Amino acid sequence: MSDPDTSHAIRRILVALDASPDSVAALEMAVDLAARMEAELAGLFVEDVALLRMADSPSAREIAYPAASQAPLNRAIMERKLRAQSEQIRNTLAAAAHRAQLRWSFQTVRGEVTSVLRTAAGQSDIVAIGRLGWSSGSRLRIGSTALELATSRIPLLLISRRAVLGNLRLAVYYDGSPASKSALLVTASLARPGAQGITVLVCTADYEKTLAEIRSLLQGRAIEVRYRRVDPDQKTSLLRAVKDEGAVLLVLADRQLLKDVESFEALLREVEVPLLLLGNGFGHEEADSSRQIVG
Amino acid sequence: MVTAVDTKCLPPEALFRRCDPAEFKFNTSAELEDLTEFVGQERALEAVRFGVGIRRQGFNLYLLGPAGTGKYASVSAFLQKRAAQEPPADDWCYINNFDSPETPHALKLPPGRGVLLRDDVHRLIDHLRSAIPSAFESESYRARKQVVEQELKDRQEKAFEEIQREAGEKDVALLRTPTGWILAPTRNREVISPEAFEQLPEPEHQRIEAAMSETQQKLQAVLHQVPKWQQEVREKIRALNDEVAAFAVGHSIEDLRKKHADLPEVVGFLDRIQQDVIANVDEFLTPPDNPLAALMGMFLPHAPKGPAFFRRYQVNVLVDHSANHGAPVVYEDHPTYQNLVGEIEYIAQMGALSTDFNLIRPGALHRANGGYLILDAYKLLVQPYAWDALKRVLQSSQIRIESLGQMLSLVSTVSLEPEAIPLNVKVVLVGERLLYYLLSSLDTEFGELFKVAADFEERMERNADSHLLYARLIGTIARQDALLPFDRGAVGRVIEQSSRLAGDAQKVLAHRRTLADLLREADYWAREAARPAVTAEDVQRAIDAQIHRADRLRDRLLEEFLHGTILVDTQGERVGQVNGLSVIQLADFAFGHPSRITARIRLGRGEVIDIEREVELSGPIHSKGVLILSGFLGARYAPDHPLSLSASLVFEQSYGAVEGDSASSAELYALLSALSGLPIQQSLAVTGSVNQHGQIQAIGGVNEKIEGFFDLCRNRGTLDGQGVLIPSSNIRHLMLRRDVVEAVQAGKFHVYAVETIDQGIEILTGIPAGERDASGRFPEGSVNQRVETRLIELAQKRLAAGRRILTETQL
Repeated sequence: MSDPDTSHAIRRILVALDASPDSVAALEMAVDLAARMEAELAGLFVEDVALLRMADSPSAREIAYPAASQAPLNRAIMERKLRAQSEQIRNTLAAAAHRAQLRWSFQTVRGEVTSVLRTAAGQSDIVAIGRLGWSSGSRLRIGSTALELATSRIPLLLISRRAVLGNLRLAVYYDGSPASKSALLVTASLARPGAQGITVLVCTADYEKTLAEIRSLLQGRAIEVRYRRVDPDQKTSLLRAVKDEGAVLLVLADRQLLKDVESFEALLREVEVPLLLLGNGFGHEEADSSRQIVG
Repeated sequence: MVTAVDTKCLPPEALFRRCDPAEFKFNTSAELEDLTEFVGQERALEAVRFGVGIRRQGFNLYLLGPAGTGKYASVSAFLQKRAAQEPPADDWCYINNFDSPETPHALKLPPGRGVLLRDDVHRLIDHLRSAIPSAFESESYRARKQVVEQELKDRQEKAFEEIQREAGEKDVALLRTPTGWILAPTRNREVISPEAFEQLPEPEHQRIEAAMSETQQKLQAVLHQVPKWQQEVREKIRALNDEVAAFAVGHSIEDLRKKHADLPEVVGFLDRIQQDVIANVDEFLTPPDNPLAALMGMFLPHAPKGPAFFRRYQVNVLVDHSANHGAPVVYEDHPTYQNLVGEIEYIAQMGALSTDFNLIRPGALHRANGGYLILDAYKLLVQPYAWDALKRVLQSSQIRIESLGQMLSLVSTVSLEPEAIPLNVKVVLVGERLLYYLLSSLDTEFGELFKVAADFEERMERNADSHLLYARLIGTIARQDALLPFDRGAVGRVIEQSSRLAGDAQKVLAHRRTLADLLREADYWAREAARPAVTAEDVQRAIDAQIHRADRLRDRLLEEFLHGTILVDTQGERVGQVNGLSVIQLADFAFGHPSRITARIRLGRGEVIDIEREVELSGPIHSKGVLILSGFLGARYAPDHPLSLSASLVFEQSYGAVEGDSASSAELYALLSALSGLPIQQSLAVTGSVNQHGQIQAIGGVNEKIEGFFDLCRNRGTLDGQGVLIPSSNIRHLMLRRDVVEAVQAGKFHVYAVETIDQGIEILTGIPAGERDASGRFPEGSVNQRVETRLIELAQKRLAAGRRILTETQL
């Protein structure tokens, strides 16, 4: 196994938008990342065909907020609503991009949400998505779209959620695997030198040896690093550590936990900070070692 | 014939009362003790002591007297001394009225506690602005709040999930969108297409429709419940916030409560702060920047002293007596309405005016509350509304700040009605006598509010004791003003000049400002001459310089006399012509000059015509003096027959108004001369008023008048027995210039004191006036006999003329 390489140039960040609070949070994080990496920001709004199909039904109806009044519904009305929603999202994106002086684009695509996003993800270096969309109940903690994308082969997936209070630290899960080494280097690339520290959540048998390894990997970077030992078999141990550190982002190489899909999904549901997932397509493949986060 | 003249001629020593330096035992004024009392003002100071001492409503003081008599200095010194023995006044603050912000509360505190409380509360709020956010950022608070919020979410989601589940079982899809919930029929969890739906049998249609209606009703029921659940959550969060805030605030405020436990009002105020902070805890959690302003790209200036909201907790210390050791003594030199009773200021924000209790500013009455307030009466009266405001405050014994803008409806904006502050102050007005008398007669409330008048003298008795006191006063002023010491000769000369300025040889001036000015000028000349102490020569130079600076007009007038433009004889004799004397007052400088007065007689009906009066150049007193002459003439010379003359009197070459009766004796002399045909010596000038009995009465400005005639005579080249007739009652006022006294001493000039017209006419004509003998006749050849004879002739001529006219009429 060769040394991990993170030479992954971030040129385009795709942000999936549906105007839900979490998707707005995803936009904010994507803008921040794009500004730091001088990347293009690509907004994507999907006109969900499921909704249009429902609107086609002669007996379909809408119970509108907040008065709980019944409103007529048909395809034309639904299309109009989707267009309005799209326009609103576009304006939000444009304003945010303008403030940050970013190159940006916006696209509205009609289709099934997850498949459209999967397709679009192939043309982007990072995909940012809200943790919960409109159609998801908050009891779910993570929406079906986010969950499906998390288990796909998207190289870098940012699952965002509404603003959390914290001390700006970035947390990264490290188990000594090449994937976790890539995650560590990605995290180090994201941290603002001198302003943002990282906490490495160490999960190895030989703790001291791992620390030496990490120090070697991070050598030459002006970043304040803290270490915290976590129990690989205890999900709560990881969650507690993230919370205690006041982290605003947790970086995970998804392959690390894919061995146990249920545990991974449970972790996705319960972690309370935004997540950056390094998917299978990212640079920890032994055969693909030429990527680097250029920040 | 002229023996009478010699007996009335005043000796030189009567013309000037010298202050002999030998009577002083000191060499210079530096050896004398300071004078702490104000000399010559015993009456006024006694009134001040009484007025200040009596603690009853309305016993405020009015110090009356001319400016410069030391009214303010004396009362200020007296009050400072007395106030130092009295307890310091209380501090006064304005604090927010949390129930009704437009009526702020007044808070009385012991001296020095106002600033202490203000700083304590300021620190408290500063602390709370960090402590409260910290408490609300704590993990425990966030966890508890999240539990509450999650409870709502779970409740809602559970209800919706239940509906969704039930709907799904009945082939109804329920999907959430940004605008609401969408319901649609499904089969096998797929939405039925319109075509498939049409092909469904009618019973299936009805079943689905019923299921959708049922789902809709349930959904609507839950949606109607949502606001109620949200309200419950808000209340729970509010209760949680209150609990957290109470903990954060209570701990901090408790220390202050203990610190100010001796002041129940302050403890009550702290309680209200605690309640208000808890009720408004959101304000403590808001970032300091105004997000609205930032959004709009506008700059909203913060109100003074910090963000607007927290101003409600501030303590506005209106009056701070922390540095005072006695009762306050305040002099307000610009007693406008606002400076007197305070004002409410406004700040402009976004073009609108706003205010709060922090913008209440104190007036002089607030600062003087518990002590003494000194005001200049004239300055007070010329300020609009100030006098009325002062009276209102004194009558009600409380200070109520009212905005003039509001009162006059000039400002149409929200204003305050601050709680009135009880007033306990002694007001001392300082002003001219005229103002006092005008206020007394025109303002009925004045007498009720200013019951004590302290009348300051301009002059004081002159004797050996007062000479020494005066010397000490000179020494005191010299020390206070860092002047050179005055040697005894200088002190004597100052006293002499002071006596001259007082216009009385038996008095000295108690006008402190005039005295101080003379001393400063004498000091200047002494320093110019490089002398270690001021001498009599320096004082004389100062006096001469003062006169020289002011006497331009006198010199011009004298030139007119000398050039003959104005006709006044100083030699020879003239019938019906006499030199009268008058005084011109120019600011602080007065000088005398002669005027030719002439009288012409003809047959008439007994009237004495004052030409000045006829052309309305005569003042009422002058007219009165002239009318007295008719009374004198008629009673003395024509008791039994009609006064049948027509006399005209005139001030020759007088082109302005004539006032005063000091020329009435001169006019009578001119009349007597005209009637008797006896000439009057033009080397003499006359002053003095006369009554109907022929008695000469005192006049003012005697020194200036004598000197005025003296100067004219001397400047014409020779002094050869000229002189002036003055009333005997003016002898005590004589403080003549040294050159006049020296001329008298040399016999070149004379000052005659006369008591009656007879004495005067004898001197002026050299002929005895004459008294009636036992038969009622005047001696032959006397002035009076000639006058009487002439009047009888006139009466007879008038009688004859009357008969002729009657006869001609009958014919």
